[in-house]
Amino acid sequence: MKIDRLKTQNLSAQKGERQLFENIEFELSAGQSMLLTGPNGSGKTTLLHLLSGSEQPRSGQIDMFMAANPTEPRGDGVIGISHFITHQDALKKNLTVYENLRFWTDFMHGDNSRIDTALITVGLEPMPHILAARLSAGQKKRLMLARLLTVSRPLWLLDEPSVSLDSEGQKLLVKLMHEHINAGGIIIASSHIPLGIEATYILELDGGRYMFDDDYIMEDAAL
Amino acid sequence: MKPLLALFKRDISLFFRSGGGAGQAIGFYLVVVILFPFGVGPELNLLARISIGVLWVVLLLAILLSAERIFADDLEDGSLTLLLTAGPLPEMVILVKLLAHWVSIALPLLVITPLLGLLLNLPAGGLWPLVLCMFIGSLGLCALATIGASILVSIRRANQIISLLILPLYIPTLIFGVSATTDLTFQLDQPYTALLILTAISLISLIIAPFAAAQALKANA
Repeated sequence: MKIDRLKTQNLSAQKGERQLFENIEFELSAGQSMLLTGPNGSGKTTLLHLLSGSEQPRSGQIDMFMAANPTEPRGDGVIGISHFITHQDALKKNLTVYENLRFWTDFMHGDNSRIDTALITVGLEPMPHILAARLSAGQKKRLMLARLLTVSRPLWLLDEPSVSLDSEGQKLLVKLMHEHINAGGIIIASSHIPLGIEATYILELDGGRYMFDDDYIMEDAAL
Repeated sequence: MKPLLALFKRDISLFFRSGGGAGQAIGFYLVVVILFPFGVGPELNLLARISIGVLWVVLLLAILLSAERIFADDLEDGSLTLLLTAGPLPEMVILVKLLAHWVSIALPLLVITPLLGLLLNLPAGGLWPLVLCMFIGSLGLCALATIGASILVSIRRANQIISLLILPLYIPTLIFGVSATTDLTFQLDQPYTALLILTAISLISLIIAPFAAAQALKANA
């Protein structure tokens, strides 16, 4: 499954009564990445939720164009196309490291045979049979990253992916992101700190306004 | 099929590994059913008369009180977001979770019903009608519990509210479940009428629940 490009139009979201952002428009092609920045509560996580399909926008639309048919938007929309790494780990405490990874790999139509190498890559190969409850926060994050390796998805949505990773883990994250970009994937990541990859775009969400790249103001929402 | 099968296996193994698992469900049934004869007194006729109703109420309570578990854990650790967006259709995911819940909660009761029937002096010939009717009815009850759990998924410790919400929906199943069991046990006139209505209620609930719950979970996201 290869992606050609991702396009949003007039994307708006609100939390309760509060308008988070309005009329966000961007287009990312295969091999491009975008960094989301902005203060707490500016809507970075919400934007990622909209792109993953777990929340619905107040208005606007998101279209995915696949490499197989680049002229028509994908019929299933955003469902089943992305990896979404959130601040919640989606790991079960009562299942082992291996069982957790095995479940998500099976559930997301991944490749079982890659589980062992994925565990080696993220550095969890000495402990496949310990319960996830006994992992440290950083180890849990590594286990989440292992999912990126066992299941091929063209779009990676990463919400503060570097949080709780040690310096080795951050290097690993950068390496994985580079490989994904070079393989023609798209990454949209939110972060307060530099992630170590050259993002194609930087989207700054700031109290309803949003800015692209060199402070070039695409849209100034009238609030 | 593989993603759904993986989810089914995961949900069941999680249930049996956490907090006592099957022991908890069976323990609940045993406690209630053992206490009843002591409360009612040693009259075998009276026990025989109420045994079918008691076992139905126990089944209903067990499903009602565990409804929250269907989605709460997955919501808490963020799994629910992925379950609903990263794999198969949300409706199928919910149906599988519903069935896994049924296997965890209702199936243990069906397995130990012969023992419980003995304790309550279940009428002779009443065992198979009871197991059959509870099998059919419990699927519908689990489906309704799933709807309740999905509507109140964002409220913590919502068991009591879920109970209030779905209790009215449980009454028809209870009425027709008990009368179907009684009709079949004593071979009354037209013994299958109540059974057919019970089956209809369960089938309708099973079909509606995945769609209703998917919408409710979307609205709660």
